[in-house]
Amino acid sequence: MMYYSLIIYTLLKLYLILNIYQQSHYQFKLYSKHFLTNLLFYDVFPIAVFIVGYYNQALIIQIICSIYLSLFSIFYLLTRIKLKFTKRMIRLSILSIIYIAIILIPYVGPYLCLLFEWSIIPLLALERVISKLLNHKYLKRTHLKLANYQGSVIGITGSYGKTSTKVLLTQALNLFYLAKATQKSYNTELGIAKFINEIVDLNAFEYLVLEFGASHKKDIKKLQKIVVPQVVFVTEIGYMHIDTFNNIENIINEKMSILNGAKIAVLNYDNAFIRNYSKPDNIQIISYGLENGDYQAKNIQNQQFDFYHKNHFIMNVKTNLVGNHQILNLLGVLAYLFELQVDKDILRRGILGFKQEKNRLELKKIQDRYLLDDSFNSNYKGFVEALNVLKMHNGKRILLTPGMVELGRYKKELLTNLKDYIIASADIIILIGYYQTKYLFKYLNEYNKEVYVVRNFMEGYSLYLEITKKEKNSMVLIENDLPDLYRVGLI
Amino acid sequence: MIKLGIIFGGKSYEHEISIITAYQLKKKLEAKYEIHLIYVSLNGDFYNADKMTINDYKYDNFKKLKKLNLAKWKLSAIVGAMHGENGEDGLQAAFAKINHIKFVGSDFFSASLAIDKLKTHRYLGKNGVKMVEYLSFTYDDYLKGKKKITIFPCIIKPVSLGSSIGITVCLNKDDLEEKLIESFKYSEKLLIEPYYDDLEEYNLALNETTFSRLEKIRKKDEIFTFENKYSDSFKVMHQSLVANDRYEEFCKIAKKVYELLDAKGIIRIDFFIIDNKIYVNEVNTTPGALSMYLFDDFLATFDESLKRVLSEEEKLYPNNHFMLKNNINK
Repeated sequence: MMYYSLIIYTLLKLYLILNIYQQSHYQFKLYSKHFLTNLLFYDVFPIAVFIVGYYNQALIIQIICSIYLSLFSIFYLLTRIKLKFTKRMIRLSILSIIYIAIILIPYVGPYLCLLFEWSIIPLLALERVISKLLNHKYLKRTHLKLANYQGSVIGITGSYGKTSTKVLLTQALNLFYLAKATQKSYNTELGIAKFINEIVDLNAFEYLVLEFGASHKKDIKKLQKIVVPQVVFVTEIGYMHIDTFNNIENIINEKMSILNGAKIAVLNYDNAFIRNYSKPDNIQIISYGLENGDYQAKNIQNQQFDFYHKNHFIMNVKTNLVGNHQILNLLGVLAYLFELQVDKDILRRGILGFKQEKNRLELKKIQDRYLLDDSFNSNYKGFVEALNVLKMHNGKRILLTPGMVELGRYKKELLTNLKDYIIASADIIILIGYYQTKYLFKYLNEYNKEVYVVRNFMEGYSLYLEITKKEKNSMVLIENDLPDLYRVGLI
Repeated sequence: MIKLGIIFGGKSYEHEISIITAYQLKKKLEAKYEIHLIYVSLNGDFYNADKMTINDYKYDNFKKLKKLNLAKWKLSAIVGAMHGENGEDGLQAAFAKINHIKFVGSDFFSASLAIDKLKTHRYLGKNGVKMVEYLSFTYDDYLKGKKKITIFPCIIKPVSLGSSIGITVCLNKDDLEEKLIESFKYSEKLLIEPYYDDLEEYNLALNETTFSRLEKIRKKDEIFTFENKYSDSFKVMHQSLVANDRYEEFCKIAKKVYELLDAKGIIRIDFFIIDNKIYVNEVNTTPGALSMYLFDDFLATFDESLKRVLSEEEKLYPNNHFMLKNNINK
């Protein structure tokens, strides 16, 4: 009987193992670190239960132990991130199930199963060799394609801001040339290879804009084996992924290694790590920043700024992008385009139409009210970003939201965090729907904030108009998941 | 009982409004016909939406639905409830045609002409229908900055969108660029018309034989843009049905437009009255809710159009479709 529960246990644990393996980017170091820190939960406890059940004669204890073991393994399904069934994962799952059947030999088998996260390692190693061979073939095709490419390759890296910069740069380049950029998640070796292999005629594009993700040591070097970009952008360097890099020096060296072999580097000089790094001599540096660098943005207000080069005024730029971080990203793009000596009038007009795909946060001005529209958003991170923009506004700040409808399992935990952000950013809070906002309401009510709860969006919107009737410079953030039926005003 | 399919949704900025139209239509037509729903998701997937209620579209509920199997229903005809691009522009009629099902409404050619405000302006204007003066303006014109806009205040419209989405009013030169960009989000080509203060707007719907009542659009100060609807002035958006002594005149122009476009089924024409002259503003081949609230007896009007479509094959003209059939059989 213990054997049956053991099989259930092993199969469910397999799901967890593969998930952890995928999340540690198929690296043994992170993988084993995770299991070692949770040894008690993953190994010691299940083995104890198994031994009690296996060597005990009493049937009742056997039954209890086997049920216990099966139920316990259900915990393993409750992971934060769902397993992505990529080709590699399917291959791994099939191999592992065959492997389980083989290792279930008498005497040793049960323990191999109980310690499955360790006993599977030979299999993982074998699979790694297989996939290396397969990838090699795939990467060779990419190499061949890039060898015949005549345009310029631009590589963007940084701890954050690289996707935003990529999106803006591509739009800017496309005003004058033909440029193509990687999709949002294609920033790994295979991702970039896939992107390149899927383009039918590479030479149709004058620019390729690639995002270089670097979350581990030597990631950039791996990517440079595929292609060495002539133009590189380093957007920001911060403490992201510090646990894989050990210290900040390693992060700086890793990100800045993208400069090797490049001809032009566009660097954010507001970031001290980038500014103080000693760059190679044979490379042209284009530096930008709100306070440092050759290209600067001054007099930033109301979504416009003055663009300066070495203290010479170039032009006034208007944009629809919201937030200073976006202006910084835009500045890097502008600096590079200016060095390309494009028509600055066309550039200036084009910028007004630039948009960010990822977060669709949008600022509208209706008469003398500001309306920050984030109603398409439905994720926690986007909510926090929008609140940060609201926070910076001088004037009455109102939040209108039905809360987060789909937070999943971590609802309470996230809501407590969210509450802190809301308290810091909004003066008046209007919650939509009694039921779905009851936790948020409870939390906010403890803080003496002006909180209203209404039945639907229209009611909330009317209330907001009523409140701000006499206010001149108010800003409302409309956040989250509103069905469009409300937006049109037909219901 | 006649089996009708209602097609709605689609990759369009008016996706949600289309859902509302479809369900209003379903409610009305259920009395007389057997109704089936064909939902086109934003990704362009076709679903059998018979089991959905209007509130089910809020999340991705429709993904659980069965994929469309048109042959199963044996529909007599399809009614279009799609608004805007990828539907009202004639694709819904084309969808019916390519599936060998009759379509109640304007065919591909009329609908694709009518959705493009620029082409409608040119075509109707050249054929003696009074249209407001206009200027066409592309994104390329904007970037290069050569074509100057001098009419102020002006109203800026994306060429191929129904309703009022993307329409902006520009009062002076200073905020012109921002307003243009606002409209460029919806279309690469824009139509720029002068903005009249004393303008009155009327709507009239018609089909082959019947004219609806005349509807006067009331407004406060500015034309309803999407933003206006969003803000406090949306409250005054309800319409009023009026008796107008120039009703006959409206009908005459409407009939002429209907014939020029070679339209079929119910269409709605938007008019302006400026300085006592009647201008045609735009033509909707799939008006919101098929303008059912404008007709005294919508069901009878619709039935009239449907009967015409269903009896089309009996029309006596020397068509040789039978030769097609014979050739295929060989």
